[in-house]
Amino acid sequence: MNTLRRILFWLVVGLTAVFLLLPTLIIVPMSFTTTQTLEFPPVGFTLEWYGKVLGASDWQAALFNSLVVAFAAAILATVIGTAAALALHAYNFLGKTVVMGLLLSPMVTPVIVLAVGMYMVFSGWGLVATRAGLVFAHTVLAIPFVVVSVLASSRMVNPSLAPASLGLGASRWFTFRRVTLPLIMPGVLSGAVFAFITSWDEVVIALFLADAQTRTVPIMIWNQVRTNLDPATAAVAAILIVLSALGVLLSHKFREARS
Amino acid sequence: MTVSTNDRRESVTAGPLSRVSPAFWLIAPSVLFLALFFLFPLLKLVAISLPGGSMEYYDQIFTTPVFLRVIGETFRVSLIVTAVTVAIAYPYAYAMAHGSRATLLVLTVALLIPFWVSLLLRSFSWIVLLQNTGLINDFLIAAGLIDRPVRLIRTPLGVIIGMVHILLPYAVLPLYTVMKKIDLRLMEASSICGASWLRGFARIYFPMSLPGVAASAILAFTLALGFYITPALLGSPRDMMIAQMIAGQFNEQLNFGLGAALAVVLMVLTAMAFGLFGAARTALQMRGRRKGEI
Amino acid sequence: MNAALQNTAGTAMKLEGVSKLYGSVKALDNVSFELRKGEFLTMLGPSGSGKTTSLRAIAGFIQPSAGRLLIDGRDMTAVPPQKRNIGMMFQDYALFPHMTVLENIGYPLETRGIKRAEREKRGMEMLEIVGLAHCAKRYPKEMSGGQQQRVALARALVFKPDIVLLDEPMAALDKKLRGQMQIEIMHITRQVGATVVSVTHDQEEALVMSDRIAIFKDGRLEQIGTPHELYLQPRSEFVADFIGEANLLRGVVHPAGDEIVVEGDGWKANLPKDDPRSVSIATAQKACVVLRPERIHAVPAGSGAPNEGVGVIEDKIYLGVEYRLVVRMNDGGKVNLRSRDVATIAGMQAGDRIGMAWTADDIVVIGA
Repeated sequence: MNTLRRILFWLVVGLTAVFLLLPTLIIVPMSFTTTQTLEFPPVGFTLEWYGKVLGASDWQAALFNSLVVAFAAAILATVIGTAAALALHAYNFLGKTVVMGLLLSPMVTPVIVLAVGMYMVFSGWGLVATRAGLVFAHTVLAIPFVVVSVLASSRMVNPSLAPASLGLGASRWFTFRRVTLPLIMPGVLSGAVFAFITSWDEVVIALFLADAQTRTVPIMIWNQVRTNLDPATAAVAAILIVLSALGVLLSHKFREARS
Repeated sequence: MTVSTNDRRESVTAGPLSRVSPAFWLIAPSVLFLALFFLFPLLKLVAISLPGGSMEYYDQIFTTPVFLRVIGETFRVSLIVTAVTVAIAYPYAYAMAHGSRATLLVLTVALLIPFWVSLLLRSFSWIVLLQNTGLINDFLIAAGLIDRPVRLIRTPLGVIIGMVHILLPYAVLPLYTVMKKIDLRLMEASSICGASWLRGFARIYFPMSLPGVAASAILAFTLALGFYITPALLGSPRDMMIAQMIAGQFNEQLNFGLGAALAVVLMVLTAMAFGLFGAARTALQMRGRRKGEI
Repeated sequence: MNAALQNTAGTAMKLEGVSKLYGSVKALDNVSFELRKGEFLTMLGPSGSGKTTSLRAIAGFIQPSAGRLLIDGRDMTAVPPQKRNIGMMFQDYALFPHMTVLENIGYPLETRGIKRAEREKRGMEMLEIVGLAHCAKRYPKEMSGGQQQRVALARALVFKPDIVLLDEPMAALDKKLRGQMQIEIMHITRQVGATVVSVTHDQEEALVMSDRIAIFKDGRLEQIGTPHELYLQPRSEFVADFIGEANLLRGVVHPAGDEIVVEGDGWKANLPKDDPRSVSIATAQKACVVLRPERIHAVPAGSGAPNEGVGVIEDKIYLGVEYRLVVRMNDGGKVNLRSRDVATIAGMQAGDRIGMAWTADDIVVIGA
């Protein structure tokens, strides 16, 4: 009875783990298939699909757009979010809970709502079909991640270090540059990676704000998936997954440096 | 104004601009940015949904069967997905919380790998897996469970599978956090008191894990309400969820007022679900208080 | 068959050659002993000695790799914990945090299918006994450590279990409470007539509470007996050192006429040849003499007594009722001595030579 329960339990847990991993794990092998349709298990081995994708001008343009938008959004979100997190950590002020709520709420707002709202407002401001519009929208999504990450790392910093530096006669700016910032750097960098990936993977808002000139890689994938499934899509997906994995490793390294 | 090193700190607050706390200058950019690019768009939606203060769009939503059916379908799918997700997440989180270090490592990696792969790619992968010539159908046929491919894509089942997959990590983490704090020696205490494993689980472990179940269910449900990509790729237009309906109003019908009203409805539903979370937590605490009598 | 039955009369539990292996590590090595009905037995030993493993094996939380466990004459080795009718007080009490005190105590009755009214009645009776009747509706976290312990004890006793297990009962209490709770737990368990097995690494606690003590070392049962027996007749240096204060003098064995002599540098101990202790070391080359500090008499150096040692006083401490002396022997070893013989000791100074005398009855000899 006891043994049966144990076997059943681990069976369920094991199957759940397989369920979690399966969709991710099949994508990369599928991209090497020699067939014209997506097959798993893949047939043969070819890099043709990668060549096709990387050689196509529309994919190249989308890749360029994605990189520009993700870098810009990551930098903007990191600067704005880090400043806010520092204030939330170091000061007590009126309405702090409200500010905190505001900073985190993009994380729980349905993206479709944000997408249509931004579409309406941005079209009035001439930001639709521009990279700037995408950057601002993705920055909104990314700010909560930066705030959470930086807050987490500032909580680990000895709170008497900054007053000590001030007490030694250092200015606030000097203290920030030489004491506070180096200590919270792991959190800032890992927040930046989060921000980058948020933008890199974002599709719903981009669907509303981008046009043929400013479209990003996720939109290309979306269109592919909706029209014809071919192994080229798997090739792009594999590239994206590898990049995400690099990002995770990077942020993990930063977080390790923290401890 | 002569400044010596000793009173440099005073001097910082001496100028007229510096009278304001540095917290203000650190906070201002984020608040301003979010007010402009986050709050304003949301308020704009509310404004568009109430042309001249008229509630016509809301009347239309709550009296037209099509809209009511979509809202109902959204609730139905979200509830099913939540129930399935939490049911699967529970043993998984239990294994993470009480298993060996190696188990924890393996299960965490299995949990986080998909977490980092975008939802679009995972939905794409499910299309390949669930299609008639896909791995799942091949497997079921090979196992002799079916003899012809079963239609899985463009069905509610496909949507549920895809959504559960995406929500699982979100559901596991709060459960894991709560379960990690439950001392398994309480189960030993229960068994030495004469209770079978099942009774101990029902009377001791499960009640103690309830805050985690509540957190994980509300989180899954709230996120499920707003799903767009997964139902759009894996579901059929007949079983549309509210997010698809909103997108449709803006993309195809070009009925911005109605779309905005639907978006506001979704926003309110999401906020209510989160409110429920707070209420559930309080209720659980109250129950703990009131359980004075045997 | 008949003899076996007679042996188990009055026996609450019996361990027969119980061993537990973790990989190649022997956590328990062939442990056998009996527990008598109504007695308070303490398993005493340093950490890793196997006492906790024994307790968990008795409870049923771990399965022995070999051996049998009999409770009331029945083989319980493979029976799950919930069917053993054993009560247990856990080290950190393991009270159910989401249940009130009365619900906690009622839980073992609930699992036995006893109705709520009866549960409450018996729970309250138990709470009266532990002196917490006014706390019935409180939650564990609203109570002090000492109170929680009494609740845990009440939960372990309420269903009149065959055996009650106490896992390091004093570990979670502060020092001041310990002495008080030791007496109280002893009283309560006697009052309800419980058979108790306790685990501790604190020898004082074991001495205060127990009818018998089982001393564990390296997974083996070293010796079992009443505190008195263990103190007077330790069978190993480990036991001698673990129970009470002991001076261990190691020397060479040789016969001399109708006596056996254990002799070291500057001391010797004589035993009559027909003494059972002599028999036990008759064939040994070396032996260890256990000298309790209070059994040594201070005498002027070189008095020539048959049982005597000489050394130099290193420290002399006056404690009101007695003196404590630390004496350095010729081989550099130290001997502690306690004496109320003010007349002899008052005049001695640190650095003086001193003689120490004892009789054959004052010592224990352990063959090495």
